[in-house]
Parts: sequence; C-alpha cells; structure tokens
Amino acid sequence: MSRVIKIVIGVILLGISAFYFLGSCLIIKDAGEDAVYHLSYYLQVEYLGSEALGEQIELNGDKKQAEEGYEFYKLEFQVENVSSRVFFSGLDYLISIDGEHYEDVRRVIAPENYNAAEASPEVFYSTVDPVLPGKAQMKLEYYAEVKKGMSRLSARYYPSWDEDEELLDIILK
Amino acid sequence: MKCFNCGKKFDYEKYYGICPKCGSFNREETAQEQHQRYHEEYDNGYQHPVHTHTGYGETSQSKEAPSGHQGNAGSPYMQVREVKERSSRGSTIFLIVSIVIFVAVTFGFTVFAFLYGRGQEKQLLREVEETEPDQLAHAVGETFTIQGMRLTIEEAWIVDQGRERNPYLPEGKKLVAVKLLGESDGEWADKNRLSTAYIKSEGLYYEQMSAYEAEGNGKEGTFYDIPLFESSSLCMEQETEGCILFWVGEEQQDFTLCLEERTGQDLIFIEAIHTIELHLEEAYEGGQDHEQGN
Repeated sequence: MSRVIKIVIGVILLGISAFYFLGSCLIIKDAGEDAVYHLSYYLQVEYLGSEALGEQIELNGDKKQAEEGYEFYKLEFQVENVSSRVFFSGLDYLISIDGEHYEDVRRVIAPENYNAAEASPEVFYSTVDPVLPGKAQMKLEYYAEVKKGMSRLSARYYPSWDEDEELLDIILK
Repeated sequence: MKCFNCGKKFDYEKYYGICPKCGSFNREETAQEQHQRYHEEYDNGYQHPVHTHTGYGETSQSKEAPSGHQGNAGSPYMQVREVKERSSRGSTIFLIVSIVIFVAVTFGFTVFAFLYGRGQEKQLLREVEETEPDQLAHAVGETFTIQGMRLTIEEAWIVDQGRERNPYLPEGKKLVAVKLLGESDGEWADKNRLSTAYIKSEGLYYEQMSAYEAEGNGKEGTFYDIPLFESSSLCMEQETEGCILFWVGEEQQDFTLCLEERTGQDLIFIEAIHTIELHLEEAYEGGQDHEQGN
C-alpha cells in the first residue's frame, strides 16, 4: 500500500473518530436532560392472595364453567406505579399467569372494565381505557381456570417497557 | 529504469535519467549499487567474500565481510532509499494508530455514552421514586393554588348518555364535563401548564379526554359547544374558564377528580395530588341529537 493511501485512510479514520468523539461528548452533556424525556412508568406488583371459587363463576353477568379437572381461582394483586409517568398499556394483560406446564392454567379472565369499552374507533379511541397514573396504586384481580390439585403458579410482568421481566410466586389457598 | 521517487518505469537513455512522470533525476546504478540493492532485497544472511568496490566484475583483493556486506551507504541512491523507508514506516505507524483511535472512539465512547445515559435515567427514576407527593383534598367551589396557578372546580354535569340516542358513545359510558376557573400570571411557562387530569371511579383511573381528541369531534376549542380547558390555557391568559371531559361508568354518580401538582424540568416530579370529590346531581335528561358525537 503506498504511503499516500495509508495517510489518506488514517486521516479519514481520525476525522470519523473526531466526529464520534464530539457526538459522544454531546450525548454525555445532555444525558441528564434527556433522561427526563426517556423516563417511563415503573410498576411494582405484589401478590395479595387467592380464593378458590369452584367450577363455576359468574363474571359481569356471564356464567363461566370450568372444564373437567379444572377449577376457578380469584387472584389479587396490588400494583403501584412508583414513577411519575402514566401507565396506559392495558390492565388486562399487565400480569401473565402460568403453571409449570402449559396445561396447568387453561385461561385467565380479566374483569370486563379492564378492557376498553366498545368505543367507536372513529370518534373516541383512547380515554375509555383505564390507566395507572404516576404515584398511584390500585388492586387488580384476575380469574384463572387452574388444573385441580395445583398448589402454586407463577406471575410475570414487565415493570417498564425497557426492563426485564419480573417473576412472582403464587401460592394457591 | 525505475524512478526511485515514484516508481515509474522509463527508458533511461531516452529521458536522460529524468522521470517523465515526476521529473526526478535518476542516476544510473553503478554495479556496486546494484550489488548492494540485491543484498537489501534478497539477503538471507549468507556471508560471502566481498569485492572492493572498484567496479563490478573487476577482480581485486577479497576479504571476508565481518557480518554481511556494508555497501556504499553514503551514495545518493541509498540515502533516498533510506528516507523512503523511514517515511513508509512512519505512514504505517500513523495508519495503525489511526485504526486504534477509530476503534477506541467509535466503540468505546459510543458504549460509554449509552451506559452513562442509562445511568442518568436510573438515577432520575430513583429520585422520582423517593418523592412522596402530598395528598390535598378540596371541596367543589374552593379555590386552591397549584404550581402557582389558582384553580376552582365549579361543577360537574352529564353531557351525553345513552347509546340508543347517540350510537357513537362508548358502551356503558356517559360523557361528563367538569368546569374549571383558573388564574395565573399568563406567562408561557411550564408552571402554568396543567398536567393531564384523571378521575378515580370504581377503583380504576381514567384520564381526561385530550383536547386533541375532543376537538377532532367538535369545533376548534370546543366539544358539544362546551369551551375546553386545555393544558396550556393559562400559559396565554391570566384568567380563563373551561371544561375537562371524562368518560364515567353509566351507573356512576360519584367520582374523584385528581390534579397533579408538578415541578422540575418538563414537570417530571409530582409534588402533590389535589383531589376533589364530585357528585353528579341530576340524571341526564337528554340534550341535542348528535350525528357523530357532536
């Protein structure tokens, strides 16, 4: 490789490095300010307890029948948003409930008012959904159809959109 | 002949040793110099008898070279070669240093800047977490101070109800308006910006209908001909009045209005939450007919 080519490549690399260096300095300088705009909700979930409801439940006026070998449990959680940003991603899928095997939990039903009311999407589209504002807390309940004889389940949730999943142990009464 | 400066091959005789490309003068190699060049290019450490440099091919007194062969290092040709080699080594070192700096800066600084930013976000979240907002309860008609603004919640009433009358209403919901009176210094500043209000009803929280959503279904600044109290209403005027709108369960007559008092950059910290218990006095008796929400 000729001397001139080496020098030209070196100068180009140094130029790009200088550009990156300046960019990084700007990012570091503005990091404190930018953190405000990146701040998201942050949820902390606590398992409160469960209640065995038998093979049939009535929810929102509808009777639900468990499959043979399954029964319903009401599971209660306390959710707190410790951040100052609102959580608006839907309460019905906030917590996932599973057993050790796929067939341990047949289905999980959230109360009807956790879902958006049947709004006309062309007219009203967002504010009929429940949210969890910053520094607020609420109780959540789910109805799980669980295989008979199960004594524990697990609950999973994401504290924030960019955080790793948290796991909770659920002891059934 | 090959030009010692640019490497161009040319006819020595034709150009008298002057390179047609770069113009450098090239002296024809003597036999000694050619001998020396071969040594430099192909020498594998083999020691052999050395001729005195009276001319290549001339046999003269020979002696054993002590280590290799030191030719005519002081000749102009050799000086040029040494300068070129030093220069070539320098440019190689420069290129290697440039590559090292490039890798260090592009990867090192980028990763550092990213991690530093994440650290700042974590620290801010910790600060926000540690903030415990005061809970301040007010009554309807009471004037209270929030972020330096003075607000009064005047009343709440049902704006629209019943899907049989207005099929565009959400299932099981009625539209409720809450009337606010506000005063401020009228400056365009964060402190005069009212954060999104929300209500607590049946153990769940609902945000106010955004002005954007409402205005999309009404005339500018109004919905159902009701003037709206927007987030920045008190950034432009010292006194204003208007309504914020909520969807409330059809059977609900009571709910709690919550207004956040915030501070800090972009109003990131919640200092206090002002709550007002509201009661919908009268059942909805019907109003104007609506074709599309308005």
